[in-house]
Amino acid sequence: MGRMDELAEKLQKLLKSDYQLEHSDEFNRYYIRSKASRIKDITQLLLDEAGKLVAISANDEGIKGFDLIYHFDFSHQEKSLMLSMKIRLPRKDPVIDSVTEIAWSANWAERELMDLMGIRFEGHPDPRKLFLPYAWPSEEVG
Amino acid sequence: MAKIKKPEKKKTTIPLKIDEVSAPEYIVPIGPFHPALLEGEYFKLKVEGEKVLEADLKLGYNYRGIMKLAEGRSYWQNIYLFERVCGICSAAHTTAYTQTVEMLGNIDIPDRARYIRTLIAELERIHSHLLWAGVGMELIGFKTLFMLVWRDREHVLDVLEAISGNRQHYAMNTIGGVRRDIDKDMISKIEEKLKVLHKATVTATKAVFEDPEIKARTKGIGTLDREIAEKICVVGPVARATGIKIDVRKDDSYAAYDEVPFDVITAEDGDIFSMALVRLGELVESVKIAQYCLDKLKTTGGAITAEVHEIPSGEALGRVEAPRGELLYYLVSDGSNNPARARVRTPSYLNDYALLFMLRGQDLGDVPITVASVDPCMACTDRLVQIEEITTKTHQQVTCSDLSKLVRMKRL
Repeated sequence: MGRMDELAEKLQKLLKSDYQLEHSDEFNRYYIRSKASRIKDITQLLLDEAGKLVAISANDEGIKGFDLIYHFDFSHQEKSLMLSMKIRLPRKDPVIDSVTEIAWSANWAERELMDLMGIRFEGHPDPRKLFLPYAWPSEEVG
Repeated sequence: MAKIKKPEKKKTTIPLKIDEVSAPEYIVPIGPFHPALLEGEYFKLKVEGEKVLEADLKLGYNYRGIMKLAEGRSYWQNIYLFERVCGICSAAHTTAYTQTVEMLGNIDIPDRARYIRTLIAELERIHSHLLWAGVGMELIGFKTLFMLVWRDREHVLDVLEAISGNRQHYAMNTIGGVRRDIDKDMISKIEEKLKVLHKATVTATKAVFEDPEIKARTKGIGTLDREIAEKICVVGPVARATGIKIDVRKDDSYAAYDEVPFDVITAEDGDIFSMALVRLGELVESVKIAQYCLDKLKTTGGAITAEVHEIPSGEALGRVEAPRGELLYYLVSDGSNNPARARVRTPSYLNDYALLFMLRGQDLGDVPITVASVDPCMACTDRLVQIEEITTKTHQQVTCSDLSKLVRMKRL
């Protein structure tokens, strides 16, 4: 039983119907889709399993909204194992809970996405601009 | 004798409003543009006396929007774009990019190309670590070792120039392999230089180990706790200096690293001395890996590029151990000629965050070497230029289409 099977079992137990394996490839990368409301639980679970939240990416999917992808690294446990959690956010009001309090490494990643993609991270302890100037005019997303 | 008129004593006023409340604490701003900083970054240090209480860092003074630019270029054009994310680790960026595209397109690269990629990656690591050692030595005032280390760095730059024609942007990687081959004459020339480099790295390591002054300036300074390091996910030599044994070359092998024997160097203390030990230890390993690749290149023949077909839709996640640590590329393809989305997570992005923890409790005099100890690369981290008319002091907003028009007209 590989490490991913263990993780998948635990995630399924936690998420139940919100768990959906999108696809995996021969390079030991797994892409799993879930709901925005569960992100804190997922992060807590995967960090307890000694995973590392190494990056957060965001895809602009046009009319479908934004895809947030949380990349968790497990390669120190099993060779090249990486787990990417995909969360779809609506285009109109992209809000998600911040995971910075749980995973410190999400701090700058979330601030960057607030700057560049206009996604709001609710409960971020330090929601200042990271790359944009502090005086950057705020604009509507859409 | 004329009497010299004594100047009247002026009433002195305190120039700064310092009262009892604000007296103990000051904010020392360093940057965004400062003679002591090489790149645009803004450190705000709250100090009491000489001790730093809190540190804050602002980035983005030279944000270039490379991830957005990549969406408007084809897969082949992007090789040249990503080469220019960072001058020091240009080969790491193109390796990570081409490798991710190869993952998307299911392309297997020839063995010879794999060895050449590994060789270039290691030569780049040697040049980057020697650069770091030089900068670090200069900052603690050890100018002699700085000059000796940089003299030896010229050898590796000569090798890179002989192979690729350039000292920095090697332009060696392409999708499906590498662009230039290394012939037999070149291999023997590189081997000679590697012998010189091996001797030089051993001497530099010995000098750092034995010199009491380097120890005095670096031991116990800028310590990063292992717990914090694990929480903020630092990567590369910074992580290994705190005892976290991670290395993408071992954990997620790419190019020829799955067959190359080498040790992952770790240290325990997490201070600047440990970071120096890790990097210097890696230099010796890198010379070994480079020699292994040269031996293999002598016996492995064949092509250096594989045939590339169209890139199907999908997504891929590629990683490379750049000199500064794990470099992550995430590409999404929609089946067209351009990537639909490119995400670059550079190692300095994670390691710069560690600085805020490392600077706490330091003496102000140790700030420069502490900042340099993680080998920060702002070019990597900043990837918008706000146009401000100095005369009118008004901000000018540029829309995306105006910007691309300016780029097309080569005005920017």
